[in-house]
Amino acid sequence: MSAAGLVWVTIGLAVAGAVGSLVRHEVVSRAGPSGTASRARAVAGVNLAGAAIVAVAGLTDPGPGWRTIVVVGLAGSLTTFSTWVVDAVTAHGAGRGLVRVAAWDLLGQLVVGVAVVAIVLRLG
Amino acid sequence: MTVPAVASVPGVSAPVAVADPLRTRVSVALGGAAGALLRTGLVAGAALIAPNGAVLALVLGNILGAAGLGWLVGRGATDPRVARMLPLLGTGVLGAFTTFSALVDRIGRTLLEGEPVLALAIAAVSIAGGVAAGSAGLRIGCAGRRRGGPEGGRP
Repeated sequence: MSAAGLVWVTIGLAVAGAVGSLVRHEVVSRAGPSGTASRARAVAGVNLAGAAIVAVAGLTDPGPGWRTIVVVGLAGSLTTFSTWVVDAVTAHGAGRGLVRVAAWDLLGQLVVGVAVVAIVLRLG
Repeated sequence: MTVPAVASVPGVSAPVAVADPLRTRVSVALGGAAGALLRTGLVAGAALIAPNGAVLALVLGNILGAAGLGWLVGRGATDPRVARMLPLLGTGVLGAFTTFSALVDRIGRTLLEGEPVLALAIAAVSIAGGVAAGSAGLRIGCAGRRRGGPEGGRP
């Protein structure tokens, strides 16, 4: 990649990171405080939407620059690992059952996310 | 991490004023841009150093980010100065620095490549490490508040 291309991809990454984070903020901040079931659903929504974007992008060939911007920048910032696990910790602390949090909020979301990626890539 | 206008952690009373929505959004966007660039740089740099460097960087970056977010949330629950930084550092930087999509993409591709044990290891280390780190960060953040109060441990 040329120096100019690298600059554009870097700028694109930053913009995509900002957009992905803003969308995540708008969705999750409306869902209630950390630890609630509605908040867990909102985090699952953005995380699984990001997984779907990555999976679909894996089937297309938009070029390495665009792929980096969309997959790494947009989907990477739309989704979040830190909120996902910290919310699970606060959910348990807030009185939601340990088994329920572990099975649904953590394992369930991970399994569905992996399945989305694996199934789309296999079908493609 | 996306945080409410008033930070709250179960068992900890919320102390801080509601933030200006526009300022919050600008902070989230700026932090998100920085977090995405940091993550990309870390993963790309690690991939140059070692064959499995990208996966290691992804997993360790996620775990470290969870620890940092836990600390911010724990401390920000009662320290207004930290709470004011949550949109920038929590929702923005750490929220974008850590990623779920790259994790499930890596696990899914590893499965399709016929390496289920490695895929399970990535998943197990990520979840166990992330929960442990987030929990520790939260506990340390809350403990620092109790020791030093809102002034962050100053006498």
